[in-house]
Amino acid sequence: MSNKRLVIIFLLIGLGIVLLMMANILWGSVLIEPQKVIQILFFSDKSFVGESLIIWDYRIPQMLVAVFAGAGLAVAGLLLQTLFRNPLADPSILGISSGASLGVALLLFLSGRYAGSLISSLGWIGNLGISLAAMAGAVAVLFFLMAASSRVNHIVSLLIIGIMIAYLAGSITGLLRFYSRKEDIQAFVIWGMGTFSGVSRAQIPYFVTAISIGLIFSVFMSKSLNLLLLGERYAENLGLNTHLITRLVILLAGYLTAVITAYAGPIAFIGLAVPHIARNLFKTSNHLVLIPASIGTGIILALVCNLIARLPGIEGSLPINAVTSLIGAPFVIAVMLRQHRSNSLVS
Amino acid sequence: MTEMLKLHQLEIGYKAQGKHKEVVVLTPPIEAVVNKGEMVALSGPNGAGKSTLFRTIAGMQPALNGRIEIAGKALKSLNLHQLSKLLSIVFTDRISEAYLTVFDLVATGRYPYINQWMKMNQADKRIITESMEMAGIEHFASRLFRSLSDGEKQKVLIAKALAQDTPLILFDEPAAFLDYPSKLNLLKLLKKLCADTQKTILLSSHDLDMILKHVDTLWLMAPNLPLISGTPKQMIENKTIDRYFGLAYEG
Amino acid sequence: MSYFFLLFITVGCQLNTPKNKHSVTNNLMRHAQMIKAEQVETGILLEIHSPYAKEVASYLLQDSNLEIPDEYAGIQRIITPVNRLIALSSTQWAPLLEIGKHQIVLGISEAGFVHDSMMKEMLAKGYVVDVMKNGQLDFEKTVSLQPDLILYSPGPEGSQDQLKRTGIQLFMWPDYFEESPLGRAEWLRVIGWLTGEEETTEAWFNHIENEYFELKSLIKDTVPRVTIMSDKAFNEQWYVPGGKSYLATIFKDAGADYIWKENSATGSIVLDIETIISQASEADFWRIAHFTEASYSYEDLKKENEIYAGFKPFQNRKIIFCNTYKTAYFETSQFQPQVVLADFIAILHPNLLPDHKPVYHHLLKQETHVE
Repeated sequence: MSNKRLVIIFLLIGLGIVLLMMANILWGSVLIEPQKVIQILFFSDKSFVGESLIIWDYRIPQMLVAVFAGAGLAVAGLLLQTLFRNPLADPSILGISSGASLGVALLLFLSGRYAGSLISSLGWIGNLGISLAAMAGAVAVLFFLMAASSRVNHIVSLLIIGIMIAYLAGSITGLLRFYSRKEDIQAFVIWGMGTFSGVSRAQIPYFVTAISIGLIFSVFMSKSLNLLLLGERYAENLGLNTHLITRLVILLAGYLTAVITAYAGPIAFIGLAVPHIARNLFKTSNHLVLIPASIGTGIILALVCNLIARLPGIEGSLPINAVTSLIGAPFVIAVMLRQHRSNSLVS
Repeated sequence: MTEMLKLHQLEIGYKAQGKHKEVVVLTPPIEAVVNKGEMVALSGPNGAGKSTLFRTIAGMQPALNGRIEIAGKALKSLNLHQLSKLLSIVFTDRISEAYLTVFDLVATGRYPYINQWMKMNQADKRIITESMEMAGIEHFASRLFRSLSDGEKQKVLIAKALAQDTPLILFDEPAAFLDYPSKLNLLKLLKKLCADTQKTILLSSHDLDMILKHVDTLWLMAPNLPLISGTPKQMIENKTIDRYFGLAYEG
Repeated sequence: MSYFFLLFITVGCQLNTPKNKHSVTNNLMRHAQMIKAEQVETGILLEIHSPYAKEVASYLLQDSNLEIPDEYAGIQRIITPVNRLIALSSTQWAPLLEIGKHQIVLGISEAGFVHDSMMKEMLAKGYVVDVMKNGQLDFEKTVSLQPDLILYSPGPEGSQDQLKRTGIQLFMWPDYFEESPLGRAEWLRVIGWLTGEEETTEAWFNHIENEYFELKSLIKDTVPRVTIMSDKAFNEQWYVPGGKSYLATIFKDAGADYIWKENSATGSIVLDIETIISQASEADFWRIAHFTEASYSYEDLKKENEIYAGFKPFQNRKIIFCNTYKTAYFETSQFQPQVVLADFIAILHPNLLPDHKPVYHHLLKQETHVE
């Protein structure tokens, strides 16, 4: 791909992001006129108390969570697909989101009075919010994975361990759920559907900083990731410490997934689909291009989904997880069919 | 003559994991040298330890005993980055990344020399172009690696090894997936490289027929036999080949 | 990794809530267990327990022109009477409609399940907004209503995060967790204190209390006891009321021995089908609540699960049925525990209340499609 075309596509993505960000701020379940929004945004007009609260405390945080969760999940997916050289790898494959789900299940199902004795035996977890419970579960799995990665030689073994952890955590969650009250299950189901609106204005700076750190680190790993594409042995022969890089990639992808799952729930599909869209759009395997491309595509997909989830005529808002697949899956299928055609033309 | 690769009292094999910590030594201590500009072929029956020897030389597996010197430096004293500028290796591993172009793949040969942002200067680009020319693949630089035939892929990987600009190149079964004419072309190409660029080449192959005709020096390995070095002619005459392969060779 | 701990700390800090020093000594509540109330000089002090947390939520209800005494500093103050309100549970807005304070209700939740015709009309005309669907709060609608107070049912830790973010004053309403029928009904007194209508609500509750005790006194030691089981499978699982639950109390007061009366749970318990069959299939009566727009018969029940047909109360046609679609059971029965009780007494011991007309529960008759 020529540099000129590269620049044009990136400019278009940037423009799309800006427009979608504006649309996300303008659109919501309560109608606020664009002039009012501008007054509130740029002139900090104090005369619209309710509207100003909606814009500053709800729509902007929600939009920012969509932006950074979309970017973070896309990069986490790309990192894992490259590491495992498996196009089906995504942030859920390491069991990190399952760990987060288990943390939340422990909190929701054991904090009721009917399990009072259980919760006191768990001690501290009973006093945490949902985000913290999710984070605790995700980090626990991540630590376990890091410990495991230093003991196994094969990347495939690690993949299997991750999938097994996901099953384990999933079945414990299922058991807890089986013995829980209907009311508590509803809260868990709602968390499992994912949301971009769960982060308060006060928490936004931490979320944004945490994800940005992960994204910046990942850009610095571009060269190592390019080498990983050739396989561990070629990578090593080109001077890469594959053992160290494997652990770094898992730590980085796991960190991004943990933070996003803690704040937004287990958001599916973005991590799996966006790297494919990015690769097809830019027709490259160079991570110096693919990482920014995934970030941009991830942001666009997340913002579009967030907008569609709140389309007019829809009562309430649709669960994000339903929308991401609804929008993303046909797109990926189309991309794959097109890729197949162009490949058969080449060969 | 400079010694490019020197193996001294080298024992290769595995330390079994688990309770017993058993050590499996594949061959008696190896004593061998490859000189600069030489092309040596390593052969032997399956299970002789050819791949293990290659991985040990490439620093991907620790030697059980003895020492390896590459361009006069002890392998143990080299880190991965230093080693990547002395030794390049072509494996049989499949690379199946969808959007990897031939140029990008050859360019990875320059990675040990460039920074984090992979900015290549004129010299880097010239080396890549020359490497592709030497391997005869300059006309499909922009094609996708995945869309090439096995023979073409092998040439691209040779170009990548050339771009890595190391004095020593190892080829692990370079002819494994090729048909006869391609094999022949490949060996001729390697021989020419040796002659033109003074690179040192060590290749492994169990395709004796091919090797005996085109290689000057032959190393033979077999389970529990010492690694032996000589010209193909000597090896045939003193029946070493029969002994190592356990069969009568009819050449 | 240290960044994780930073995140832990930043979120963790928000969990600290100020502890109150004062505690209720002279409790006004007679039956409710989740709430304590005390008349203090400047208003009414409430202490409300959440079944999900150790800490008690304290509220001081008082007139706007009154100073907060120092001893109550740090206690959440609610200016009464409240004029703009979101009532997330039907057990909160139903009594408000009953006492004629419908105009202060701005928002409710799950409008699709509303049974009351007046509330339906208010929703249709846009006087009342549905702010929560499937348990998910619509933040924007909630905020734009600008209510003074939101009444909410407590849930597991963290499930109220969205409500808290609105910045609107919240009032916890755990009436659902009251074990006794009179305890649940007594929450209507809180409605009176919040709206300045305590005269009406006090009289109302006294009436409920008297009637309930009167009915309960009909069940003398000489009345023969009958056995009763409750509920059917839901998604392959049997959730049955615990032995100390609301319904278990109603059964006891109506002169029935509940199959799981020895159980100590106040909410529902999960049992498997084999336990149900071995312990409950021989009961005299079987109480079922079901949400259906159509009529319901023994045949319908059998279609759901063949096993039901083998139960003794099924064969003897002794199923006590409540259609939660056609009756306002979930909205109004809470403030008519005496009616709920009378329904059961009339079915279990027909000679004690021969003229009673069933309201919520009736005996499911063979092939007659009773509404």
